Order: sequence, then C-alpha cells, then structure tokens
Amino acid sequence: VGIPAHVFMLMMCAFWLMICGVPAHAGDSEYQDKARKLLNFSMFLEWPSDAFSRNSSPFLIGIMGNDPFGHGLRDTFRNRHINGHPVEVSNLDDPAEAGAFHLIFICRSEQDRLDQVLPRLQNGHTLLVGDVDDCGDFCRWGGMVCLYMEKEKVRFHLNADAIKAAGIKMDSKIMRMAASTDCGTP
Amino acid sequence: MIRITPLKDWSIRHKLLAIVMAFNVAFLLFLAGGIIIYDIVTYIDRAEEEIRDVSRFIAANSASALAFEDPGTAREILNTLSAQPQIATAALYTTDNALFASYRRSEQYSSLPPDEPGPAGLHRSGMTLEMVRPVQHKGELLGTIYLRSDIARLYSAMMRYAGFLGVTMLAVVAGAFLLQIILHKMITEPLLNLAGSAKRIAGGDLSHRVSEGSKDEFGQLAEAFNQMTTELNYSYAGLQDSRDKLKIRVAERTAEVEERSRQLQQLALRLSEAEDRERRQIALLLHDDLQQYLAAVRFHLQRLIPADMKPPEIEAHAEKLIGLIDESIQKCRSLSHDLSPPVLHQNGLFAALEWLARDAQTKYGLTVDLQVNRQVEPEKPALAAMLYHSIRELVFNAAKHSGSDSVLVAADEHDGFIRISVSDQGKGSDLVPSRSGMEQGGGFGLFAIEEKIRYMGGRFFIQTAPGKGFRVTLDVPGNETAPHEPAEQNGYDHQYPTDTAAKNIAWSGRRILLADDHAVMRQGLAKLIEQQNDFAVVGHAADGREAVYLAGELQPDVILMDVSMPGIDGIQATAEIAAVQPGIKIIGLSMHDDDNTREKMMKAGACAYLYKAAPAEEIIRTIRET
Repeated sequence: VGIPAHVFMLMMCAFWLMICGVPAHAGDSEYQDKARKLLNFSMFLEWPSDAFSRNSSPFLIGIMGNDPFGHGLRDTFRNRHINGHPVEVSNLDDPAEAGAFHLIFICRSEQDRLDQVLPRLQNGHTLLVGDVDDCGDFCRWGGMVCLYMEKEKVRFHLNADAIKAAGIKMDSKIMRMAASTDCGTP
Repeated sequence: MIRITPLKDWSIRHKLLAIVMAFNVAFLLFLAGGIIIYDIVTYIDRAEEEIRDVSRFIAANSASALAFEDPGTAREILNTLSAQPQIATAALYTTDNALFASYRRSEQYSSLPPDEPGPAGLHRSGMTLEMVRPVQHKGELLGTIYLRSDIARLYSAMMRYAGFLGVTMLAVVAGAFLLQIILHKMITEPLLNLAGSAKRIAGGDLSHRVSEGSKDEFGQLAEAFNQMTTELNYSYAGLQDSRDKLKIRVAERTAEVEERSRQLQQLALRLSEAEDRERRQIALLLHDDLQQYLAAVRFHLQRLIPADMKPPEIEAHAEKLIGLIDESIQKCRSLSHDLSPPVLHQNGLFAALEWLARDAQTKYGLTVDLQVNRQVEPEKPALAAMLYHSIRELVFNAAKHSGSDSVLVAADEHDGFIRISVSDQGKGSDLVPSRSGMEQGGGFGLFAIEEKIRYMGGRFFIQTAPGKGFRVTLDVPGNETAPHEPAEQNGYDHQYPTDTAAKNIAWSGRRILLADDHAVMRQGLAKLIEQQNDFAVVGHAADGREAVYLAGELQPDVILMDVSMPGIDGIQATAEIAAVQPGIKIIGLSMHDDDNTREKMMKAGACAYLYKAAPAEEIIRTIRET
C-alpha cells in the first residue's frame, strides 16, 4: 500500500519539527512550569492574617539571585490574588528585607551560599522555595519547598516542620503530591 | 356481573388456590409495577443529582493532582468511581483542554472520553447524562472534569427488580399453597366432611356421625347435624317399627284371608262333591233300580205272552205296554246320563266330553270340537264333575242362544291352572255380560258357574261382542295346586246282598252263569233262559268277585256279565276270567249302550255285548250263537 507523496512529505516535516523544536523550548517550558507550580502552591497554603498589615496589603513574592523566569513569573501572577491579596513580584537583593515577603524564590545562582543566605531569610511568615540541585542541603538550612525536575516534570520536596514553624497552614492534599515531606531530615 | 362460570365446577380446594394465587400475583405485579414506574420517573432526577455530587467530589479531590500535574493521583481519584456504577466514563482535562487522566468502568462497554470536555454544565441525550465541570481551587481554574452516566444502573435496577419479582413470586406461590393448605384444613375439609356425611346419611346410613373436631361454627354445625341425624334415626326407627308391626298385621290378615279362602275352596269342593254324589245317587237309582225293574218287568211281560198264543186284543195291549216300558227305560237312561254320565266316573272328564259331543250332535245337531291336552285331565272326581257340568251348561247355552251350529271346547295348562274355554262363532252379545243377566233359564247358569269356579280358587272370563261370538274361559287350580281334599266317601258304593245260590248242575247243553248285582234282573234273565230247552242257568253271582270265583268253580259255557257291579266291575271280572279260562264265552250286558263301554268290555275278553233293554229274542240268539 503506497502512501501518497504529499502525505509523506507532511509526515517528514512534522518529524523534523519534533526533533528541532522541542530542545529550543525546553528551558522556557521548565520555568513556565515552575512559575505555575509556585502559583498552585500558593493556592494550597494559607498565611496567617498577621502576615498582612491590611486586608488590601499585597502578597509579596521575592526572587533572590539571577531571575531565570524572565517575565514568566510576573506574567503568571499578573492579576492574581492569593488569600485575597493582590500579588506583587520583585527581586530581593538584600536578605535583610526578607521579612516583608510572603514567598521568596531562591534561584540556582544562590545554591553555593545557601548556608549564608537561608539563615538570614528565616523570620516572619515567609515561605522559602528553592531551585537548587541539592534539596537535602537546602532543607537542612531551613528551606521549605525544593523544586526539582523529574522526567521533564516539576516535582518537589517539602520540609513540613519548617512550613509549620513559619505559621503557614498547608492543605493536606499537597502532602500527597510531594516527593517527600521531611526534606532535610537526616 | 362477573362471569366465573369456568371456576363453577372446580373443587373448593382449587377455587381457593386459584383465588389466593390470583390475588397475590395481582397484588405483587401491581406493587412491582408501581415501584418500577416510580423508579423510572425519579431515576433521571436522582441520576442528575448524583452526577452533580460526584463531579463536585471528584473536582474537589482532583484539584491538587491537576495543580501539581500528577496524573497518577488523578487516576487513583477517578478510580474511586468504580463505587459509582452509574458512571460509565470520567476524565480530567488540563486548563488547555488536554486529556489529563481518564476512567472507564468497563473497557468493553464504556465509551472513550471525548478529546475535549466541551461546554460546562449538565447535558442529557436519551438515557445518557454528561456533566462537565471546571476544577477550581480558590477561584483558580485548574482543569475540567468530564463525567458520563448511562442507563446501566437503570438496567441493573430493572434486573434487580426482575430478580426480586421472581423470588417474591416464588415465595408468594409457596405462601399461596401454604395458605390454601391451611384454609383447606380449617375451612374446606370440615365443609367436605359435612358434605360427605350428608351424602352418606342421604344414602341411608343413619348411624353415621360427623366428627366435631372444633368449637367454631363448623363444630356447632357438625353438632347440630349429628343431633338432627339422631332425631332422624329415632324417627326412622319408629317408622321401621310401625312398618314391621304393620307387616306382621298384614301377614296375619293375609294368612287369615288365605285360610278363609282355603276353607271356602274346600267348602266349594265339598259342595260340588255333595252335589255330584247326589246326582250319582239319583242316576244310580234311576239306572240300577228303576231301569232294572223296568227291564225285569219287560222280561216278565214277554214271558207272560208266549208267541204261540196271541189273542189279538191282548197282543195289542202287551205290545203297547212293552212300548211304554221301553220308553220309560229310555227316559230313565237319558235322565241318568244327564245327571251323572257313567263314563265320567269310569273314564274321566275328557272321555265324558267326547260322549257329550256325540250326545249334542245327536240331540241338537250341534258339532262340538274338542281340543284337549290329555296331560291336564283333572284327577279329583269332584272337580271333574263340576267342570263337566259347567262345560255341558256352556255347550247347551251356545246351542240355544248363539245361532251357531258348532262349539269349540279346549283344555290346556295355563299359568299353573287348568284352562278350559268354550267358544262359538255366533251372534255374541253387546252387553257387558252380567252374571244374572246372562243366566238363561235357571239350571247351572253363568252366575252359578262363576261362583263355583271362584270359590274353588279359579278364574272366570267372558269375551264377547256383537257378531264376534261368545267365549267363556275357566281357570281352575291344577292337579298339583288343588286344595287338600278329605278322603272321598263313596256314598254310592252300596254293598248289595250277596246271592250265593250257586248251583253245581250236571248238564250237557249250554251251561250259563248269570252275573248281575240286581236279583230281579237275574231272575228275569233266568226265566227267559230257562224257557230254552238247551240252556241251563248253573249259577248266580251278585258281583264281579263272585263271578270270577263261580267261573272257576262251575266251569260254565257262557257268562252273562253285567258291566256295572260293586267291588270289581264286569270289565275287570271279564279280564280276569278270560286270562285264566279263555274257553268261557262272556257276553257283556249293560244298561249303557255307549261304544266306549262296549269297546272296553270287548277288549277285556267279552265275545259279545248286549243292551239290557234289547228284545229277549236277541239275547237268546246271541247266547246261542256264541
């Protein structure tokens, strides 16, 4: 049974697009997913009311290190509300300012100096999310959510005790999604 | 009006069973039908409600799986739908409508989820329900859930109902049987018992009682029934007793009447005997005395006037006198015969009827045809005499009144009776034959005949119509059934004085022995014989026995033997003498000149037979010629 020539040509083009197109978008796709994960995560968590000075106070997200999202994170959270508060995304350069933030994303660029950064960030009701290779190390220094990639999907480890210590309530459904909930425990 | 004719002839047991069964089945069908209709009507509403609830539940549970892109967990959540059999297909889609996870209840029967979930909301097409619901968490859209419900549940519900209905139906049938058995035991059986008892009692078994088992209405009915039967039994026993008493009384009365009837019959028979005896005595008197005297007078008168001296005037007177004597003898003879024909006593009824037939032919020119069965010859002389006189009366009645010149006399056996009928083909009668009316000129008469026949236990019928002749039928009890008759007294069997003057005389001419019970007759004959020189009377015998004895003693050449004699008669004496001494010539002598007596005498051994009133010359000539 012969396949018509134009159908064959179309199939060949599709194959070429698959080979060449997928790697080009791989990096973007990872951080889009991670941005989305952050949004979803924030929806399943509840910050205590004293984390906000007013009802209209924004939900502050800080990016520490070299921002891998570009505009991705800001686009994801644009016009979103978390716990009824509008979201604002900004870069965090000085760890001393960490107390004002509700969620801090620690970029890969910071993974070599976690021992220095993380202890300074642990104050108030701030959720610390890391994008590092060594999740165990991250959690041991007080990191709460460690994102990592597995089969091109974003997975995460949780440090439930740290989250609880920060006064943040966590939906039990998230526990089921986590690769582990006792990240950092030897 | 309900027609239940087909059930009418069924037994009560089957009727009960049919009614209980029909009621239960109808009730069950009605109930099940109601439930099914209700279920079908409410099924859709419930199904919609259920699919909404399920979609809400799945959405809530699958939100995190969608949020964190965990299809494994999503599938696990969807797989919990296996507890919801109405859900055939379920799927979760991402926010960009890509299939995230799916569930099918049955790989074989459940359809695949659509490529895209389609617009949100509840959609119904036929028996299929589709629910599309966005999965949100805190107002954030995480994906879409798609659910499809089919009629599987309704189908399974129907199957369940069918199973339930089948099982219940079996239970109902079993229950109906049980109920029917209980009803039969409690109601039908007592009823059937009562019906059976009623049937037995109606059949005459009054000793039967119904068993009263219970204290309910049936028990009361049975008690009342038994009481009724007991009373019926008493009444019946009383009735039976009365009937038995009545039977005994009837039997007594019947026996009494039969005894009277028997007495009457005997009386009638004796009356007949007495009449017959009187007739015979008168006849005997006429024949044996008066007639003999007249014959003797004739002999003496003939001897008074010898043939050689005949003064004309004396001869004329003598001839006239002899003529008068002959006429007197003839009258005597005729009268004697009419009263009691000797042949009746000597030879029986049928021989007498033959004589009567000849007599009727001679006297009246009437032909009497006889058709008799010799087997029914009456044995009793009185009965034979009564019948003879009755028949004679009927024959002469026919001769006088019928206008016919012939009469048929028949005798045969009929129904245990001797049936005699006398019939003619004459004028007949248009009157219902009244006994007195038919009685003609006194004498016997039909009335007298009927009375006698009835008294003897017989029957009497007359059949007649104008131009159809006249027929009288007499039925008299046969020889076997004839009433007991006392020993007959032969009143006419006189003992005559025996003349023993037998003389032994030596004589060369004809020696003659005279045998006659009448002395005057013997004397007359002796005078006549002794006028002849070559004749001598050697002895006189007064009866048959003496004649036999003297024949042996005297060895006479000739015996003049009277037929009618006491003891053994002339016929028997002749036979005995002829058997021992065939050489002795015997001449029969009698006042009877009938052929029957002549024949018997000749058969017994007589060589001649003479009439006593015959001229003297004839007697002498006969003696000489023998």
